[in-house]
Amino acid sequence: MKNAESPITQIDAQLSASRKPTDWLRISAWVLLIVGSLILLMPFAWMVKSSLSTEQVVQSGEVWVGFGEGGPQWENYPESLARMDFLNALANTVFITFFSIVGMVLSSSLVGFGFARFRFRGRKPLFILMLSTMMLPPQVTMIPVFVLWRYLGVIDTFWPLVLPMCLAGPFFVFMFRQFFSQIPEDLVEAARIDGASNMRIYFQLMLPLSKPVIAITAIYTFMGVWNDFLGPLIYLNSPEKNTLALALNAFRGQYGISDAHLLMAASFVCMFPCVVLFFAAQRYFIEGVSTSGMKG
Amino acid sequence: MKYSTIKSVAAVLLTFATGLLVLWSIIHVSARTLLQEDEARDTTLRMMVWGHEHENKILREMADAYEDLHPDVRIEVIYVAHNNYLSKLKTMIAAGDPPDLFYLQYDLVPDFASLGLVLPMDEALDEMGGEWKDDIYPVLLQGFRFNPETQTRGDGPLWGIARDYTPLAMYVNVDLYEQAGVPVPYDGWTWDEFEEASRAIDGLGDNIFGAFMGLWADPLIAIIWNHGGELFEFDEQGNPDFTRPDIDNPGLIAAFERIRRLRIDEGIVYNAIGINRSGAEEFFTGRVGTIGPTGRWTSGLCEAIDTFRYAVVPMPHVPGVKPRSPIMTAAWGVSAKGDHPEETMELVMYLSSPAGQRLLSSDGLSISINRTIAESDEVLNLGRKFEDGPVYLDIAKSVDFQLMPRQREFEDILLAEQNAALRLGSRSIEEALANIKELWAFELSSPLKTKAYPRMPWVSVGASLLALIAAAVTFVWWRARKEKLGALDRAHERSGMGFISIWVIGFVALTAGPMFLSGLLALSRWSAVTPLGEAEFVGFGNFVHMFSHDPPFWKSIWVTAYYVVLAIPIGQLASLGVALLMNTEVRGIAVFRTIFFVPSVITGVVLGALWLALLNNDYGLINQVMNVPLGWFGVRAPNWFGDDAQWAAIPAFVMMNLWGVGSAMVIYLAGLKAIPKSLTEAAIIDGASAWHRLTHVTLPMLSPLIFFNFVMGIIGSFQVFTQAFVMTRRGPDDATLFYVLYLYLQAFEFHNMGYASAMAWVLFVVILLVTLLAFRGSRNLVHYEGLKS
Repeated sequence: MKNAESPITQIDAQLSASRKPTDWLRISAWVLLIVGSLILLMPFAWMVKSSLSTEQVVQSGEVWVGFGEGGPQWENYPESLARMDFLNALANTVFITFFSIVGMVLSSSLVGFGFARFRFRGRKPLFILMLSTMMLPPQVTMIPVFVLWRYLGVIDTFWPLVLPMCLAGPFFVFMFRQFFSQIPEDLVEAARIDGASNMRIYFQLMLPLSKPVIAITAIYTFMGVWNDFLGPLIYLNSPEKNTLALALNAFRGQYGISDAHLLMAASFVCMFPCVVLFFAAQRYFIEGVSTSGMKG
Repeated sequence: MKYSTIKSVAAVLLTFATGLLVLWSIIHVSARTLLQEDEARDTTLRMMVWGHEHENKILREMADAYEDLHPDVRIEVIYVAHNNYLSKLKTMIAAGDPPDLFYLQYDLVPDFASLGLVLPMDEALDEMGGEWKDDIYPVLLQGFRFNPETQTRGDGPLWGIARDYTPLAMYVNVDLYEQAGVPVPYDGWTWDEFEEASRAIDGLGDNIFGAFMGLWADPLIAIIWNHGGELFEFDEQGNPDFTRPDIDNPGLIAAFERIRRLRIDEGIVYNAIGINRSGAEEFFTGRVGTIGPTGRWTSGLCEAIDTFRYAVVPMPHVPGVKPRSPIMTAAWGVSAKGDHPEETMELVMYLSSPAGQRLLSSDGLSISINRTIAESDEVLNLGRKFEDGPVYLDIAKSVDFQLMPRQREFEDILLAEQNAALRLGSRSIEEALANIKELWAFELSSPLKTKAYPRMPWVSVGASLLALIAAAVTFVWWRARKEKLGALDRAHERSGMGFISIWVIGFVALTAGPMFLSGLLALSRWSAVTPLGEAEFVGFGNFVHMFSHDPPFWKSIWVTAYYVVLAIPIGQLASLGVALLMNTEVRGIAVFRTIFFVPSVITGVVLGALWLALLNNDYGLINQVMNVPLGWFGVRAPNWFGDDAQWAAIPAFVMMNLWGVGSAMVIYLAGLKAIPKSLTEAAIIDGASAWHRLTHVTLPMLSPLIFFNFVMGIIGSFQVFTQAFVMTRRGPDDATLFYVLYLYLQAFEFHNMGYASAMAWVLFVVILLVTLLAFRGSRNLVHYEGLKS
């Protein structure tokens, strides 16, 4: 039935040939990707290997010699953790991170709700103003904000680190607003007719629907706060209030060069939660990054 | 089926573990806070120190002993690494939360005394009794006297009591000396003898060095002094005149010439050009004949040596020049802003008392301030492999303070030029010395340093601010009135405003208000250790100083620009390339995507710590790997943050940045997926090659994303801070002085809050301009099609 010479089949054949890139192209892409992956993974492998090696092995710079006498040096871990007062720093970091995430999710979604579902005068300019603050380098406000906290007398507490997180972040507000705007008006109207208050609509309708955005907000807040260095560096003084980032930096300053094996063990432990989170919620990581680029 | 079960079990377990962790942390933190409040009813004294673990242990013991004597007092010791100490101390003072007791370096005395940050100690000292007071080395007391009225040192009230002190000496490897047939100079020697000995030892083998000299300020001054040189000329009263560096002094020049000859020209003195080994390690492994000038803490490290015999000898000197040693010391300073000045003073007196001093001397890392104890048998006979006490006591007879200008810039200039002329050899000695004089004169001539300025007129500023706000509110109200609203709309509006008020509060308190204040601070001079009311109004003085009198500022611009120019194109090309590779429908794309993305999850201090180790020129993975192919050409991988830092440090940062290629890659990948198939297919039908499809379809369709990544990349690159701070700070010769790092140092290390604010505004304007330019330039390059979704 089909005419083998018809122009349509010709195009079809051409398309299917080109849609699948030519073999050499695919193979070389594949090889390049494998080489790239190996290069990118090497630092991780080296870090883990060094963290389990003796000091002599690390300092000798020999990569292929194993861990040194007695196999993997598991005791590097307890030793380095003890030196950086790990449990205390962990508790502080988890504490700050947890309340930051809760604060950020709640505040950003509330503000996003306000921008998405209510009409008020000045909504548009305010929204644009909010988005434009994302461009502001934080260094401009760093010093006055420090002065502000000083006059409030809360330096060396967790307030300066957690409180700003409870006042909404522009990017997350933006994502919540986009998401809430897409929820059909009928649904909200139905809830209103049933006598639901705004807060009830927010808590029982909006929030449960917006799980992906909550996940992205939580993950990115986690990454930001867990790894934050400048904030704790400026605001925390007492050693018992150290966060992991501060403790790790102090550890590096004190032992970093001579005890690289212990430093690698400590770094690995600090890094571990981020990597676990990434594997547990890979989808949201990638979605979050992609939306940040795609919104333009 | 099975896989999904495992997955959900893992998810439940993970959630449970996270929940437990959060719960535990809340309990841990609240328990600590509550317990502290309970204890706060007693007197808690906070003491801030730096030092080795060993010293800190002794300090803790002393604190415990004091707590036993005074059950109502609790002493909290805050340890800070030495290189962070001053910054931390000043930040705590600026935060209004200074420690009660802290180490006061003698060059800080004028500043701290003039600003009223520390309390005078004479009364407390007199109460301790004259006999004990007379037993303290007079030079130590004199060094911490300062008269704020006349701004002269050496008289006036006493602002600190030295904890202990050490002069500087040389440590020699006796075995190497004997092998080379050189007598060990137990009773002193000349620089020529030092040179001969070092030359002889250096000839013992390829891996043996004659000597090592670590040249930070005090050892450098020691060497200059013992060549008969001085840093500054003297005025009629015999005080150093800080406006006249004595660069023509023959002693100073001789000292510089000798160091350069031995280090660079002859290579007899180990030239530590990495950051990874200070060079002192080489002595402990038995490969260096002599190290010094260094202090008594070195003896503690030498005691661990069991492969050779060591000895402590005096510093060499030039014949005819009286040997003279700088003092290394830190004094106890008592904060004037603490809650318990009396108790703190009592604690200081305990630490300085014979009982405290005896305990402190037991580690033999320094010399007691109390002559009787310093000369007592128990302190002189510590049972060391080499009994160094008598040597140090002997040197202590010729100690002196080097007075330095209050502006810390002088030391920066001195050390930077020393580094260039005596370590890297990138400048001649004449050039370096001329530079010192010129840069210092330049620094002193800045209007910011020479002129007196009026106070900031806060009242009128506040009044105009209020007027401005009132005008804005009226305007908004007037505009809003134009739009009439029904009752229902009004309720609606109120709810909406209620919801967004959370952000509005944050905006006003943390963005708009601070920006306004920052703008004012940029026009002022304020050190943060005084109240805001004492800020001075300098107009555009900060900007004038920045552009015309601050070479590090330009250096930081250069460093940042170098990084931006290198990191952005390379990073964008790499991420785009990887995304294109992945888009070729290869097998296992999900795995690749994961692998390429994981590194970008690592940020902050961990990233810095890891890469500092990876880039270590002795044992780091990158250098080990690079050395293999480079070895075929007889080249070695660069010493990234050492002697190659000038050109290699920034590429090293770019490499680290490249490791995080994944996040930009994912954006591109999403963009590639969003390109309609129809477009590519049309191109194929038209017979376009793969290359043509890339340049004529894919890239144009992707251009908005490329543009977005480009702009975000620039903004991000201008703000590199954490890694630079963690890894290298300024780096050799300011090679890694990123703009924001310099801003931070100005704000929280030098405490020039006004200047730092001005720098922040410059950064803001630059970012704004670059972004605007990018938008303008992109008009013809970016296609806003297809991505409108």
